[in-house]
Amino acid sequence: MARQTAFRAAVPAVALVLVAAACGGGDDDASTSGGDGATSIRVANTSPTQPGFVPAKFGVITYGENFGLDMTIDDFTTFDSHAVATQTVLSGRADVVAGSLVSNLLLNEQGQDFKLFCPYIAQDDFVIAGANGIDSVEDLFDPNTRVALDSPGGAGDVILNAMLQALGQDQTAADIPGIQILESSGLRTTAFASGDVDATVIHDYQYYEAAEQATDPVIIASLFEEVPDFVKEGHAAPAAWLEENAELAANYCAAVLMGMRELSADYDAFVGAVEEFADVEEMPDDETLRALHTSAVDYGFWPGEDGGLSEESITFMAEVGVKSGLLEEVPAYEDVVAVDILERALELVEEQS
Amino acid sequence: MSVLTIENVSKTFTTKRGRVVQETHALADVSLSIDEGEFCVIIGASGCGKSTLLRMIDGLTAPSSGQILLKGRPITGPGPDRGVVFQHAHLLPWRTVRKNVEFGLECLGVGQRERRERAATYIDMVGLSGFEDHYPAQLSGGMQQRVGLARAFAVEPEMLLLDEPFGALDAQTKLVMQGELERIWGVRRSTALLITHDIEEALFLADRIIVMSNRPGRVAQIVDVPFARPRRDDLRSDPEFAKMKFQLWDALKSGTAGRAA
Amino acid sequence: MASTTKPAAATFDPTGPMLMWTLRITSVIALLAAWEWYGRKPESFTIAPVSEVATAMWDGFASGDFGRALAGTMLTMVVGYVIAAVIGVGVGLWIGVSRYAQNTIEPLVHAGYATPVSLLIPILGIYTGLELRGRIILVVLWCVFEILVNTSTGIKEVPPALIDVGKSFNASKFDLYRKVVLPAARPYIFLGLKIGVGRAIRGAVTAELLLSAANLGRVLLGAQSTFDIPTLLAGIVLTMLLGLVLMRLASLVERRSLAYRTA
Ligand SMILES: Nc1ncnc2c1ncn2[C@@H]1O[C@H](COP(=O)(O)OP(=O)(O)OP(=O)(O)O)[C@@H](O)[C@H]1O
Ligand SMILES: [Mg+2]
Repeated sequence: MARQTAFRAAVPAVALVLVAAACGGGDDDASTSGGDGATSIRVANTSPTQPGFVPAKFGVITYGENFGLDMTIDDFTTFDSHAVATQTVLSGRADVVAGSLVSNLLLNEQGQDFKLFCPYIAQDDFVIAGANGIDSVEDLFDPNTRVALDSPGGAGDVILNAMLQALGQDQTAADIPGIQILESSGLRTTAFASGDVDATVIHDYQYYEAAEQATDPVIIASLFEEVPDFVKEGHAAPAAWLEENAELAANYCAAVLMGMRELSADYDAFVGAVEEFADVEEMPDDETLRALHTSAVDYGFWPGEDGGLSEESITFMAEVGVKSGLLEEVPAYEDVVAVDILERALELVEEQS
Repeated sequence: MSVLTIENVSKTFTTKRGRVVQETHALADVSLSIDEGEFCVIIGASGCGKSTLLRMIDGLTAPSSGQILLKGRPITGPGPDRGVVFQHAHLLPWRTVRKNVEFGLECLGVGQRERRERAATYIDMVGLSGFEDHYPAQLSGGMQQRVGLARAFAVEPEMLLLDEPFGALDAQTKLVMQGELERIWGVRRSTALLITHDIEEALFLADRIIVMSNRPGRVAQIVDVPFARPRRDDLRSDPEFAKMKFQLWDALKSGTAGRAA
Repeated sequence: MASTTKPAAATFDPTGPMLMWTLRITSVIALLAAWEWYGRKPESFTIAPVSEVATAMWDGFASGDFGRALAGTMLTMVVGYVIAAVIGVGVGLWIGVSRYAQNTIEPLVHAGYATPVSLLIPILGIYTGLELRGRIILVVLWCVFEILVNTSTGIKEVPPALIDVGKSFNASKFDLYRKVVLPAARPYIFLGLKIGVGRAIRGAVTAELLLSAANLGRVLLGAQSTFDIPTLLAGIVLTMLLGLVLMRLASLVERRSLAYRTA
């Protein structure tokens, strides 16, 4: 009896060990695409494709062929976190992560040698919203002001810090005394609308929804207006992979840049791309899309002309990261951006047009 | 003097399953009277309504027609004047033997000390001393049945209603328990009504045996049992005992036992 | 024959528990070793080696962060659970005994029981508030239905025969409920209360993740968004341990008080 029980106790543990070993072993055989003659890249997205995010997929599917790519929409997979997307690349089941720039810098600092080689989406339509008499960034630091934000390192936190920095504020989100952590921007919006908080960071369309209910609502600052150097998300891949697949990566990025140029120039093409590629339950109305397109063009959401990952902007983002306490130090530009690939991609685009 | 009078009692159960309504005639036109201090035994085939009749006397079920009078008054519900031993012991599983036996006394508001004493007396009487702190799950079926007996005795009712109290016992314990019951009953001589399938048990215990016909149950025959009390085990080898056994057996054997007699 | 096998069994018996413990410990060590080995592989990003997780756990407690988080989560959980237990058992009893409650309240309860609370968080947040009170209300919502439904089921499942026993022995209505119905329903009620403990923990942590970040939820979220994988895993392990300990405790209490069933 005792012996049986003992064996039964041991079985799950042994099974787990075997499973772990099997998974570990499996990684070695996992095929890595790329190398000579490869024509496709497996992209791991870290969040659903919002309407503003469509140029990359649009460009790759529409212009990939021009650059010798043979890619379909199935080459893009959406994960629900940066960590999981990164793990997927490290396990050899994807090649490239399209995700938050600051997260990428953070990973880099933690010893994951990922390099940015292509833009994805540079800006965001986040705003600092205030109500109940809160109408300046200084007010955020008043102990009586209730401010809703996501947790340190989250998108809203980074964006708020970027805005504070751009507005010349010395303090960061961490110094806000009345902070309340609400992860989802939807929840922050309802909290703002119902007066549970006096200020928050939300999308501008969320602000307009909430403004109908909130008392004396104002937009204190808007990211794309205040922070032209902001870089929200970019494409990154392990340095070793980029070295081996430099031309493939450049071809991919060229297609992305083409997509950005095309959608900037052509509103109808943008609407079509949103219909085809955006992960939205229902199509936003024309007014919303037009406003988004205008902002995107005016404020450089889609840096198709120059690639956008300039030294100033990357340094700015790194400084925001350092001030927020996420990063230890500002990394050397060449260590985090594969400039040669981005430049090669721009060349390829020029050749085409 | 008759303490319990059953007048033209019938009982029909109506069960509904969905739209199907089913009627079971459990008892038909039963009339009977039981004298004070009398030990009355009902025998009859399974399903002929014995338990139903007992439940009506206890006041758990009402007759469909006819009436039952206890000391001249219609029964409206259970009362402390009657104590029941159920066919299946139905002990309260979360109570120890002692607490089970005390249950009826608790409900009657008997003080703690007297409860203890009476419980001890009757636990001893049914031979379960030493098991006071056992839970029903720790007892055999027969032992549980004996706790059921002690529980009913403990309230010291004027009328004992016993539904096959020894049904779950082995033959040997059964004989011992029958002797015990006869002895215990002999002490107070409260009126008793016992149900059984066992002819020998009926003869050994009864002053009067009521034989019931098959369902719907009616009184088929009433047999007076003349043996003197206290009765001892050697009564079972008495020739008259054996003769009556055959007679009752005959009465029971045919579904229409009453008309045969 | 019998006499030769018996001593053999007797000499084996004392080694039984020892063998079991040896195997248990060995398998735990093997598991930890495998974890460490897997976590150390360069491509293991989302699994940090167990040694780093242990260090993170140590640091978390040394800095007081984990202790505070744990205390905060447990406070939320315990307050919510106690409220849920009182409401759940109370209303469950009411539904169990009253036709009226069965007709009016039970359908609502069943609807509530089937609703995934986490879906409602953004809407609920407006009404419940986002801080401690809101989180406690969520814990209550998370486990109250389980307790309630089990309690009312327990009442309805009381064997009619036992009710007959009560009536037959002249129990007053009050005694009937106190001495028969309630004890007979106890196994169900305790089951509900036990399941409720697990759900209360999940409710507390979920509220701390999804409503407004706090305590263990905040530790997890913070670690996640800064890629502090060791702390993230340490937080998860801590949450699991909390669940394990409390569930064990609940089982123990349940077993103790229902000992009569198997004794
Ligand atoms: N609550 C009830 N609802 C419907 N039918 C019932 C109910 N109680 C008893 N009956 C039916 O009434 C009949 C008589 O049942 P009862 O229990 O009185 O029989 P019995 O003579 O005691 O049988 P046994 O010797 O097997 O105990 C049976 O057919 C039974 O199915
Ligand atoms: Mg019966």
